[in-house]
Amino acid sequence: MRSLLPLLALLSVASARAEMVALDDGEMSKVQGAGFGFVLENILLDAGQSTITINDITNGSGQNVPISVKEFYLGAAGSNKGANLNPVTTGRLAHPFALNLAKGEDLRSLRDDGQWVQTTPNNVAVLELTFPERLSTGGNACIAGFAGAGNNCSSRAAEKIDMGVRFDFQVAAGRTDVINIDIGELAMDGSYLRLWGDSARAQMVGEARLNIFAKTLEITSCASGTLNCTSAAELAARTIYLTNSYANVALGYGKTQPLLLDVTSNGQFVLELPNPLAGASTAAERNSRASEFYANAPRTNVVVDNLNFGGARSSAGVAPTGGYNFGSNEIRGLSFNYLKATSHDL
Amino acid sequence: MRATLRPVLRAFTVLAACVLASTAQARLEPMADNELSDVAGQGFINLTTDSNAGIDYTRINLGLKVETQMNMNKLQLGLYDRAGEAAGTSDILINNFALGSVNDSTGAVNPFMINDPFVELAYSGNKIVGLRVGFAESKGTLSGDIQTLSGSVPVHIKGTADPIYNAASGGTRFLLGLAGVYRSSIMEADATLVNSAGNLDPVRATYSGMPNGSSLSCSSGCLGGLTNALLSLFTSSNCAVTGVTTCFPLSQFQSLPIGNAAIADNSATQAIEGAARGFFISMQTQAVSWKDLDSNTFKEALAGAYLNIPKFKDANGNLVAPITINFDQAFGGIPRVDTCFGAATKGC
Amino acid sequence: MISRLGLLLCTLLTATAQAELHPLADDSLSDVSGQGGVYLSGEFSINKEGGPLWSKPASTNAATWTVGERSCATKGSTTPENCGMRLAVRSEAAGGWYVLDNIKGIFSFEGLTLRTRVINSGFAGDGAGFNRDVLEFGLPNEVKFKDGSFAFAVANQGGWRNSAGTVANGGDASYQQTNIFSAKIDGSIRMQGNVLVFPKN
Repeated sequence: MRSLLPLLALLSVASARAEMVALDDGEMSKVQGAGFGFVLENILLDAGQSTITINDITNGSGQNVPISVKEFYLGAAGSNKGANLNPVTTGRLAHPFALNLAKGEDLRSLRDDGQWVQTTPNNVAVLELTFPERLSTGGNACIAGFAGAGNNCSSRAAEKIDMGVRFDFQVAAGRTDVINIDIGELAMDGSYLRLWGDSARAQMVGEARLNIFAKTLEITSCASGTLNCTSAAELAARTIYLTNSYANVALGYGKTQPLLLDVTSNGQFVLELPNPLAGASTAAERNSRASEFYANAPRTNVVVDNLNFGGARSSAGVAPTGGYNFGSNEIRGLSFNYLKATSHDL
Repeated sequence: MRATLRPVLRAFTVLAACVLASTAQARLEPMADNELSDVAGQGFINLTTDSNAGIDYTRINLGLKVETQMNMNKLQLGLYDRAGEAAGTSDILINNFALGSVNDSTGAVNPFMINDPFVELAYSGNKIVGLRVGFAESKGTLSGDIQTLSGSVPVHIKGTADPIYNAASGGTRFLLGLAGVYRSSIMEADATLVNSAGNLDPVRATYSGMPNGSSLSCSSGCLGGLTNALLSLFTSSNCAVTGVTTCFPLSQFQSLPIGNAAIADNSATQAIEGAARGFFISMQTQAVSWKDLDSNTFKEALAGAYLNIPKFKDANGNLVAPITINFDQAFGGIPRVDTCFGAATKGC
Repeated sequence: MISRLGLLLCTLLTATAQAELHPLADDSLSDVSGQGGVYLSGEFSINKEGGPLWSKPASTNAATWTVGERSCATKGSTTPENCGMRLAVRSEAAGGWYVLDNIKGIFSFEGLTLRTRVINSGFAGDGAGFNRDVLEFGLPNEVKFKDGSFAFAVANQGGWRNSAGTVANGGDASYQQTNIFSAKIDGSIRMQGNVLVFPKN
């Protein structure tokens, strides 16, 4: 705060002297960790005029299958799938996006029961990129009108985003698969990525959480205006509706199961969540690590409160009627004792 | 008045050459043989297509070998009211679902192995009618408290007739003896998802057992063809064969071995030796036939959520069931293997 | 960092007044009023005509390339293309490399602004309690790409080697690069808004 005073004095209309003085050691030592907060004010992105093509995905014969990315937009909630785009302010001044450098023992993660627990190891410097945080008290509904997603998000209704993108896959001669995704009232509160160096493993390791809360997520499999895809009824029949869905994906628990992303010496990548008991020598140590891991490591939940193929919504945000209604689908409390995924050429 | 910074502007404004580079061709062209031979496996994702009976398929294959030991509190797909089914039930509901197991005494895991997972979409015209996630190969222990299951889960029961004798009444034991079945004979039967009356029930089943009309067979230690001929006279009806119960609640099978654990995996090869092939979970709005990657035939999945663990060809070309248990396990259930470190075996 | 930026802004503000740069005395500095800020427009290209590492070969057949030749054409194309910038990062001692390959294209923008601003109101009630200075980056109204591309890959060596070429032609059969995906961007992206940056303790 004090370092900003000279700047204020210089730039504003002021007659007072404004000599800049370096901070002394006593003042510097009070700064605990350093970080920047970001707020996106009145943001609107519309890439409808550009063509992005993703290559290097091949078909069975080794030929390139180009994927065109079109109609990307990002704006305020209530845009009616990007038709009425308005700017949105996301991230709050009190709870912004942040890029932090902090000590491992100072960082906390929110457990499912509302407790903040330390998940990163001691004595490491952690680089952290966070989305607006989730709160332990107070907070707003993460999904409006759906209590199951929690009420501890810092983003209010005005900070939620509408976002959409369309992928065209030229899968075969004369056949193009269209996947048109529109997300309504999206919030990603509580997501973060933390990276630090692990000297024992001699590599960079991390932990990550990805929280996605979406009131509506719709996937339409045709391009509006093309054959069989013009009237509202045709579009509705070709749409998959997810209503009140959220995913809390937890990858890694810094203390005993950090996320390892390696590239092997033969040019393949490996994603690994090691066994949290690895290196424990006595039964007592194994048991204490196990109970600590099961108590504090965040878990993955994926919940779709209503999944419907081909129905129609009577109004925005309401579960559709008609079509094939798969009802509620969920994966709860997923936790890995071990995961290793190694890529290989197909 | 804005402060313009001419030195900075100059530095930033770089006059690009006016040549408009032609955009790369997006048109698919077959590669010449010499170019094909140079492409030494460029990626781990590829996209393949299929077509069958008016349905088009697009599949994204991931070249990944996955070893995992994981637990989840609940796996629930398709909680909706369905004609002919009890209200409040789901197409698939498994509590305390786990893949793989742990060894508490050493702190090691016995991972579940998966090769080449894929995601596939089925299109009728430009409408998505089905979606599935599958594994080309999978092997390991699948555990859970199965409440309901929809799909195709063939189980092969093979073992000595001892448990059958133990479960049978005196009269049945006499009949079995007459048929040439002894306690040491190796008997076999095929089980599938049924209801408590022994009828095939691929939707929200709570039992696995011998469907009505099927019979036991003897593969060794009997009187050969005579035994099988006599056994075929006694078909399973209403979940019993000559008084011996032949349908078992799914909840008693707390761990299921997928693939053949007796064959050790050779870590030097990409393939998983002894794996079951063609495992998938799908959701479809109508009956959709999905391609079985092992046999290249199409297998129909019913509307709703569907779990398919198919029969596959083993090394000798025989079609084998993905889950093989013995009669002790069939009658008594299979206890859950330990999937949690520490005192608990589940729910961690 | 903010104080250094303030000093830089002040120095630049005075640059238009005289041809020779003099450090300002404190009382002159404190007399400076008005608004600071920067308005940027720019266009730059990366390796549009190729870069210094590789020259364009005559064909896309990797076996025929000689030392210092590489084509980064899309798979299946028969026309060789220049290669863009390559960035490789290794996150593990003696491990493989993450690669951002073939970064090239022409990128232009107009109207990127930079200024400081006091926020003590607005933001649906958050501004009054915040009451601090922020650095405001105003996004350009439009960002244009022309033939922009990049590829994300993993490789077992940091520098690219021709795995299909002979040793005499600088090839290295042991080199393995797996392209995860590559992207081409063309056209303009409309945007508006500001990114507000402030320190957070």
